[in-house]
Amino acid sequence: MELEGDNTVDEIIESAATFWNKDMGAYVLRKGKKVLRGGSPIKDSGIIAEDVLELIPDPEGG
Amino acid sequence: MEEQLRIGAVDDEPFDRARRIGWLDLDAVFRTKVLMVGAGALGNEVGKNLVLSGFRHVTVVDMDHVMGSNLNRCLFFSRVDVSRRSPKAEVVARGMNALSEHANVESISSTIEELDEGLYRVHDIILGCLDNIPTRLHVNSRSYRFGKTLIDGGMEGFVGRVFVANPPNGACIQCGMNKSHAKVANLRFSCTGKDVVFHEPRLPAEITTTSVISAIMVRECLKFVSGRTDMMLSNAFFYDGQRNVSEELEFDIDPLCPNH
Repeated sequence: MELEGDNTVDEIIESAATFWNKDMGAYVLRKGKKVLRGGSPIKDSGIIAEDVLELIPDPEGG
Repeated sequence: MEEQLRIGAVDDEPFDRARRIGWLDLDAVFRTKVLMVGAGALGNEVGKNLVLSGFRHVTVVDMDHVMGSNLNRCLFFSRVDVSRRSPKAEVVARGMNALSEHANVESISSTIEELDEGLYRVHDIILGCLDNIPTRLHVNSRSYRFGKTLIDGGMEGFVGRVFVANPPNGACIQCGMNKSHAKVANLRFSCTGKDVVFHEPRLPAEITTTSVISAIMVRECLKFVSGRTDMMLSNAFFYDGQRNVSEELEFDIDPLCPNH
């Protein structure tokens, strides 16, 4: 995924969910043990080239 | 009078085995007042685990009634409750009370939003067994404001997560949300503000996932009341039963979160 420093984590989540046809729902993006904050720009979130990020569902049901 | 040795005495005391867990403060467990919000699939399992773990004083809040589709994952619900449209909170409280002579479980059939916020003050810990983001945010903000630890569960199919918000330290549930949560939350409301719930879950709730998530929630509750916050999750436990993966993940406080 090509990213600019000004892209936000929210934008990555939305793009990735759309690209992989993920079902409607809430997701979070993790890098290692850390879950990245939605509003954070890439340049502030410690993401660097070749990092592996994982999109995981945040289930709301009970 | 001196206590006499009696053969088989160790098998008479219901909490004999629990007392052998060094860190577990059973007297604190007996005293703790728990507010459990939500009496659906998760509420049934959490309620059962609470009482069997020794919790006695629990208030169950839920606004809904029992439906036939609940029966494959809710221990305390029956066909009779479906035909009577029994309030979920009432049925779960009755079932919990039946599990122990010491249980003192009360029910409130209402939305949590309509209740006096003093309810948070008189309880020691909050357990969230909710099925939607807006109510989760409501309970999260009140718990944080009143300085009460919130242990919240969420599930969908074979995926689940437990979030522990421990004010004043660390992130709360709202800190961990992003635009995708807002999108889902907004889908639940029509332009009149009436809850229309047309967002279908990706997968239905599933009892084995519910069992795992409820067990983690009540175990975190036991650690908290036993004063072992050092052993608690910080902040969340994610579980994927299809991939056989579970992991503890961390969230940072969001400087823009209104709860901090």
